[in-house]
Amino acid sequence: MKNFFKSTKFKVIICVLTALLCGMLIAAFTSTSESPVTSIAGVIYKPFQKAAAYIVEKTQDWQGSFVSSSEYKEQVKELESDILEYNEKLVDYERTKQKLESYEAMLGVKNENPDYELVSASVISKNTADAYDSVTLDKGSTSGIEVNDPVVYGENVIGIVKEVGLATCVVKTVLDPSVNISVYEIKSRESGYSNTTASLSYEGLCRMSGLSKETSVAAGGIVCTSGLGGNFPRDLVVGTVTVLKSEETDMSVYAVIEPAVDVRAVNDVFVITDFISDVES
Amino acid sequence: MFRLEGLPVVIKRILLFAIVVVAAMLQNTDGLLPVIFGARIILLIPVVVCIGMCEGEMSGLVYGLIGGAFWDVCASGIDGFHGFYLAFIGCLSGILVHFIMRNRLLTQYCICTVSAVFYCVFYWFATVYSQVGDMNYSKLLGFYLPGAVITTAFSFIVYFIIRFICSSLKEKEPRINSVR
Repeated sequence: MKNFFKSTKFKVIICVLTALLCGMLIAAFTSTSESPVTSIAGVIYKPFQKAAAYIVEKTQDWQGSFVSSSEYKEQVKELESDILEYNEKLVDYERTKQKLESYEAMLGVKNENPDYELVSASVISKNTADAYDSVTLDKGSTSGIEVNDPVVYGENVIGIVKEVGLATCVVKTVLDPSVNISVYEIKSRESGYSNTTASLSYEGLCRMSGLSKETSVAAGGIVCTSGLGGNFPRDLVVGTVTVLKSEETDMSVYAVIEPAVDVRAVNDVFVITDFISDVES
Repeated sequence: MFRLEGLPVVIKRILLFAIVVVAAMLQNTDGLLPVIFGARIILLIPVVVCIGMCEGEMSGLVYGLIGGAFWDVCASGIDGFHGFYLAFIGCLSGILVHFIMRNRLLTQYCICTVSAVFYCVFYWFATVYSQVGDMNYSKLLGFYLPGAVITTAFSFIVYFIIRFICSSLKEKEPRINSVR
């Protein structure tokens, strides 16, 4: 054995191991952090590694048949709870998105009318016994809401508050025959009042009454609140004129209005609790 | 000049190189070797040890260097470490069998166990302790040492394959011309 340590073979072994150590030091201090040996080996080894990865990819399905069913059951359970969680998040997301849209719609109105005091509210129930789709909001007198406060979505009229509780309020929409709003048509500047009938309400329409036979209101005209009466601020949009019809009881004419917003589908609204009306100013 | 008697040696060397490459592929590709209770088989260690035992210290050095270089391509940590380590244990196993031990299965188990355990402990110490700064024994006991045990347990398969190849493909002894 002593002769081995004196032999050329042993010296060669020591030289090789020393060179490998130096390679490690070079790798530690160079920017690529790779020793020369590893770099060369990488070039040779890469096709083999690719082949191995390809084999694994092709045999993954076959390997799956050796996995116990209990493991799959556990995975299915986990995935089902993930799905439930994601569904909840999706619902939350849609709700938040709708809220954001209503806030964005209201932002422009608030900028133009800084005197408006607004309370945001959500529809929490619809009165199924009411033929005219009155809704209940989740805010009440504790939020400053009072009877006859207007309810809007952006700059579009939804209805008016008719009952107020501490934490809720009931809103009658523009599709309720008992709701009358002073309005005017913006092109012709003709004024009237908006209300509806049972048959029009069923179709989701209301009307602008009080027009003379010679009215210049035409289809396509936009009907807005006039601010008279003090319940509604001026220039909130009620809807668009679709057609003119003659009253059955007298010689006057009325314009059928399609509301700007589907009042039955809105969930997030704003209640105008205070504003400076034209009457006051 | 090329001799036909040297052909088995050439074939043997090519086969041993192929075994090292296949061992590197199996070890470094996820899904090719079974993972037993979270422990992975470190196939290159028994391959290099067996080649060193059967072929001598120089072959152990060279094949250890090649296998370690392939391992370094896929490994993180100190680059060149695996090349150095496998070259060292390949050479050392050849020296031990040449001077002290016999080329037997039990000898292979001894050398393989020591090599695998030393590698696992050193690698755990160099990576977990130095990076995390905490003696995380759960990693050592749950991952690294079980890997060394599994590696040793299956090393007999590698030993018999390499020993068969080395004994079958020996260089033929030159004919002695009989004097009439």
